[in-house]
Order: sequence, then structure tokens, then C-alpha cells
Amino acid sequence: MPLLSSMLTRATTVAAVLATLATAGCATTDDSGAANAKSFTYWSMWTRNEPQAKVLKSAISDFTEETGINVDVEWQGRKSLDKVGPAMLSGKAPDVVDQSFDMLLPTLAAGGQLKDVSPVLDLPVDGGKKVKDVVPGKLLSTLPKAKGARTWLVPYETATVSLFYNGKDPLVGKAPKTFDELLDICEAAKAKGKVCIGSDADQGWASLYWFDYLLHRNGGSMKELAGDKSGAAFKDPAVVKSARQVETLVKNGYLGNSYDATKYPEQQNNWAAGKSVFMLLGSWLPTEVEKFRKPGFEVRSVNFPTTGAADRTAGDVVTYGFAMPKTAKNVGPAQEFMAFFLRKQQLAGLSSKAGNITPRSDVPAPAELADAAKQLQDDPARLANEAVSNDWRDQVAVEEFNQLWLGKTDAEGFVKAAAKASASYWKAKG
Amino acid sequence: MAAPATTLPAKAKAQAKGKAAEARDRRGAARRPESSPLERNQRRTFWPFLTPALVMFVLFFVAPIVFSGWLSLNRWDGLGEMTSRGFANYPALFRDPVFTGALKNTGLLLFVGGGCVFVLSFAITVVLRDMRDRNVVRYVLFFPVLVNPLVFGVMVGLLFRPSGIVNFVMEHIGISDPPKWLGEQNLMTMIVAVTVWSATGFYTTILMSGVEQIPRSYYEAAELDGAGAWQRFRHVTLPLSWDVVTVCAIFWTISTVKVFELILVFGGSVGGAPPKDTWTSAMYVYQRAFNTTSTRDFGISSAAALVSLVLITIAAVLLRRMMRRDAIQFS
Repeated sequence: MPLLSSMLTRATTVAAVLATLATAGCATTDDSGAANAKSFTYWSMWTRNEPQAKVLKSAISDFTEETGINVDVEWQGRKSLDKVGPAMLSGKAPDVVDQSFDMLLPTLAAGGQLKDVSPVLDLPVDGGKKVKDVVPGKLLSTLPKAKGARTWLVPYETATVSLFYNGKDPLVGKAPKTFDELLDICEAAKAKGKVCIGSDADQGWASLYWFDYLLHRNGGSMKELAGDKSGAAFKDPAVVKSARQVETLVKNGYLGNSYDATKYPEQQNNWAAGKSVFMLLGSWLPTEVEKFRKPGFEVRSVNFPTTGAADRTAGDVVTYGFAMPKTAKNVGPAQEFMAFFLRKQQLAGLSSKAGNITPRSDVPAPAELADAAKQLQDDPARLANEAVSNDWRDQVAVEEFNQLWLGKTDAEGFVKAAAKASASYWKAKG
Repeated sequence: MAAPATTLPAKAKAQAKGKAAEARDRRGAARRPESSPLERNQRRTFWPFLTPALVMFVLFFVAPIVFSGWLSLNRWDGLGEMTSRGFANYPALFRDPVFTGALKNTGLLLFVGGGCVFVLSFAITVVLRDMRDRNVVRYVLFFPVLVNPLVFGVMVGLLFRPSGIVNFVMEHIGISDPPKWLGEQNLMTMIVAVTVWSATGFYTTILMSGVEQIPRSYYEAAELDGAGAWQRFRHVTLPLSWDVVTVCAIFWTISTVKVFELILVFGGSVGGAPPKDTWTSAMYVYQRAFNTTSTRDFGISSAAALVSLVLITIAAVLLRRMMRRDAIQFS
């Protein structure tokens, strides 16, 4: 009996949860009203003691004082979306959630589980402006389409992926604008026995930024690779060229000796300690390594270098914001709060206290993210990996690219293996 | 005269009744040879005692399995419309190299890891058998069982990183180019090694309890017959603790298919799942159903859970049959 029950327990872990979900049943989708409701519920992606939570707490307090609307907030943390699905089925979902677009997309937006929040864009913010006047249009236009909602995210924070370096590093006299300039710096670093590019072996999704940017600069498209069920799209010359450029970085030893056996956050801490020249990562990097930065470290960043075509300079944009589950009931008050939080006075805290970039150009970015903010403002925007399905990204792109990045295969080997893996992926999907 | 006339048939009736009762008793005795009052009470209380457990078992174990079986015939993200796929999820599973790889990894843990655990546990048992303070050592060996696998995952990451303690020590003893312990190519080996390390104490403790029941006279007789350490192990220890070994083997089979947290922490990182080369069947089920970064598919996840359940059940039954021996009782 112990054997049987244990096996059953293990094998039905999923089923038990599913049974709960199913029996919870009968979710209500009544959103008719509560237009006059004086409260709404909000499940936050931040935990209680994070600086972002403190800024939001202060905003909530101001909002309640000004409008009389009570905000029932729960500081759920990054896994908040895990609980939203079951809560929707049992009719207990919050009115507002927040997360980055790439987390909201597969879990709620793609399946049509988010409400259209377009009306928020026309709500007043401050200085006689509306939300749509202070949120750059490109932040919304680059977002992937969601089922049943024209606008499904109200951005309050933006991030980008840039090449970060120490402005005081003598090896980087001038920030590299082209891939060849980057190679020159790497060669100089190598001559001085310094690692040029920091990267942790277990951060495949972050390493993939290299391939994604190179592919974009070379005129290729991740979306085409992911969408081609035969895998033949990997034979695109842009893919081969990008893979060869990566191979150059690896074979020339610009990534150091032990990067293929380190775990996050060892390499980014090494970078902050001045042991490597560049890190290609999101604009959350400076905050994460704040305690490890050596004295005098001046955080600078530059958009990913071009590889020939001077007009392909788009920078990745990662948008964080509010969204409303389809089952939200207190729509009016919730949308009012979204607009309230986009006031300059409220968003300023995100920059000054949490070290984030906000969508408003009149809120100055933190000093160490000044370059990143300028990149977001001036350069064309694109989505990392062109927002292809995260499942395909993780199962095919990350897995196969890792082999190339970690020096286990060459460019040709990568192209062949990735084409095969993509075809297998789609075959398995049926 | 009338009286005897009436008495005789009454006697005959009484005799006939008595014979019938004897016959009933005999038949009853044949069916229930030991029908004591205690047993009759036990029979009366059988269903009242069993029913609550049975209801719970059906509700929380059988029903979810049946529901899981039904889900495996559909495609469902947990929120939207459910679409029927018939049995298509099952062939799709076996076309997916990630799933077949996950099954292989589960098998690796089960057989290779299991072999290592039993060799090590027996070796330690043999050494501890004659040790004076073996109970203290036994407590120390058992300690890892109390530690959450997540802690092992984190600790091993710290110990074996390129600038970690292990490499530091190796460099000081003259090994200038230590292995890349946490390299992707070594991750599965490390996962097996850590699992073995954390489990060995538990199995040593159980095996020791079995081995300690073997009378010393058996070993003395073997020694008098000229048996060496290996022969004493082979001809005395192993056969006389076989029942315990069988139980341990079943425990190991069950526990290896549940290895999950260690892989998640050890191989995973912020923003990503562990490399698929390290997935076990449990990890596959989890990633397909609960991965927050991609669209969920409870249908394929349920199919994978059921296939794993069937395969592991077959493995456990075969193992039980292969290891079946007559029970041994020491007087």
C-alpha cells in the first residue's frame, strides 16, 4: 500500500490541482458593474519590502486619500500570475495584476483572459495631459496582439537590453557602435588577460540575447525561425552569419575560461568587480550588482552594435505594467488608479527609490541608467526574440544556442542541430 | 402411551436438530476455522473502519487519476476552452525527445543511482557493524535525510562553482585544471551524485537495522569455516537481510521518480527552466503544466504523468518479483 499510494501521489500531483481547478468551477464573468464601487483588489508582482512596493504603497495611500477608493492590495511577488488562473476559475481573481509583458502574454493575454484597458489611455493624469500623452506610443505599438483586447497593458516601468560596461575602464575608450569595434576591444582585453564578455552558463535565456540581436542586425528574424515547422528557416544566411559571429567570440576566448561552469549571479558580480568588460543584459543589472560594484565604477551602457546595416539599430524594450483579468469586477476604480499611478509625482519614486526607468520622458532616469533611458527614447523599439513563444524559445533556441555559446559545437553544427530540434518540436506538438 | 408417542418424535426432532447444528458447525468451521469472539468483532468493525479511508483514497487518489486520464485526451491551458485530441497526446509524447530523455534520466537515477546507493550503504553497514559507537555514526549518516533537497541544490552550487571551495582545495593540492563540475555536460552526473550522497545515510540506517538482527553465531560459524569478509557478506549478510533490501529497493524506486526540487534548483536559474538534458519525468510533468513563462498544456502533462505512473508501476512490480524470496525468521 505505501508503494501504491506514493506512486499515485506522485503521478497525480498535477491531476489533483486540476481537479481543484475544475471543481472550483462556475467562474463568474460578470463585469457589469461596480462602476460605483469604492474599492478594488490588486495582486502585486512585488514583495512587501521591495522599493517598488514601497512606492506603490505610497501611491495607494495618496489615491485613497484623494478619491476615497480603497485598494485591497496583496504583495504576491513574482509568482503572482501562478495564482491568477485558479482564482479566475473560482471567481476570486483580483481586479488588477502587474507583470512584464512577456509573462502576461502566455499566461493570460494570448488566451484572451485580459480585459481591454484602452479607456485608461483617455483618462487624465496631470498637467492637463492624458495617459496616452505621457506613455510613448511605441511602447504600446510594439506589444504583441492579445485575443479580445486592443490594449491589454498600461506600462509603468520600462527596461531595455544593452551592452553594459564601466565608463572608467580604459579598455573602452569609446563605446562600440559596430561589431568590429567590439571585437577590437575584446582583443585588447584578451591581450591584457581580462575577460571581455561576462556570461553565466545557466543563463541561457540571457546568452540568447547575443544571437537575437546579431540576427536582427544581420537582417534575420527570430519569428520566422520559430514559425517554420520544417526547421529549414535556420539555413537563412543571416542565421549562419550570426552563428559565425558568436563562434568568433567563443573561439577567440573573449568569454574567459570558466564561464561554461558558473551559475548566476557569479559572472555579473565578477563584472561589477571589474573582472570583465561587458555584460549584455537588461537594465535591471545595475541594481542587482549595486553591492558588488567596485569603488569608482561608472555604469554606462550602449545599444547593441550594428553589423553592417547602419539602420538596424532597434533596441529591446521590456514593458512592465498593469493589466486586468477578464473577470475583474471593479473596473472603474481600478482604471482610475492606473492613471493615478502614471502621474509624474508618483512615477518619480520608481526612478529615485527603486532605480527603474519609467515610461514618462519627464521623469529623469537613475544616473546609471541614463544611457539605457536615452536608448529607449531615441532608438527604434523591438521586442527581445520578437516575442516568439517562450516554449519554443526555451525548448529550441536556448537549448541549441547554448551548445554554440558554451563551445560544444560550431556555427554549422548549431544551424543543423537547431533546424532539427525545431522540426522535432513542431512534430511533437502535432 | 400417548406420552411416549409424543416423546419419541420430540426426541427424534431434538436429535435431528442436534445433527443439523453439528453439520452447520462443521460447515461453518470449514469456512471459518478460527471464529473467536475477537475475530467476530473484527469482522463487524471491518467496514466502519475501512470506509473513511476508502472514501478518502477514492476521492484524493483514484478520482484525480481518472480525471487526469480524461484530461490527457484534451488540450487545455487551464483557463480557456478545452479541445479534444483523442489519444493524440500519447504518440506526441513519444515523438518528443525531451520526454524520452526525461524517462532516460529517471531510469539513470533509478538504476545507476540505486546501484551506487546500495553498494555504498552496504559498504558502510559492513564497516559500522563492528564499530563501538556506531549509533553516533548512524545519527550523523541519517542527518542529510532531514535536510530539504533545495538546500543541497544551493550548497552544491556554492561548493562546486569555479571559484568554490572544492576547486580551491584541488588547486592547493596541485590540480591546476579541475573539472567543470557545474558545466552542462556534468550536470546530470552531479545530480545523480548529490541524490546518492543525500540518500545513502537513510538506506544505511535501514540496512543496518536488518543486519543487526542476524545472530553473531552465523558469522562465527562462517569464520570457523574459513570464510573471508567478502564471503561472509555474500553468504551470510546479503541473504539474511534480503527482506530489508527488497523494501529498500521499493523505497528507492518510489523516491527517485519524485526527484524534482534538486533539479529545479541545481539546474534552473532565474528566468529559465533547468536544461532539458537534466529533466526527469516529474520535471517534464511540471514544466508542461506549471511553467509560468509559456503557454500551459495540462493535456500533455497529464498524459506524461500517466505514462510515467504506468512505467514505474511495471518497474516496481518486476523488481518485487525478481527479489521475492522466502521470509526468514530468526529464532
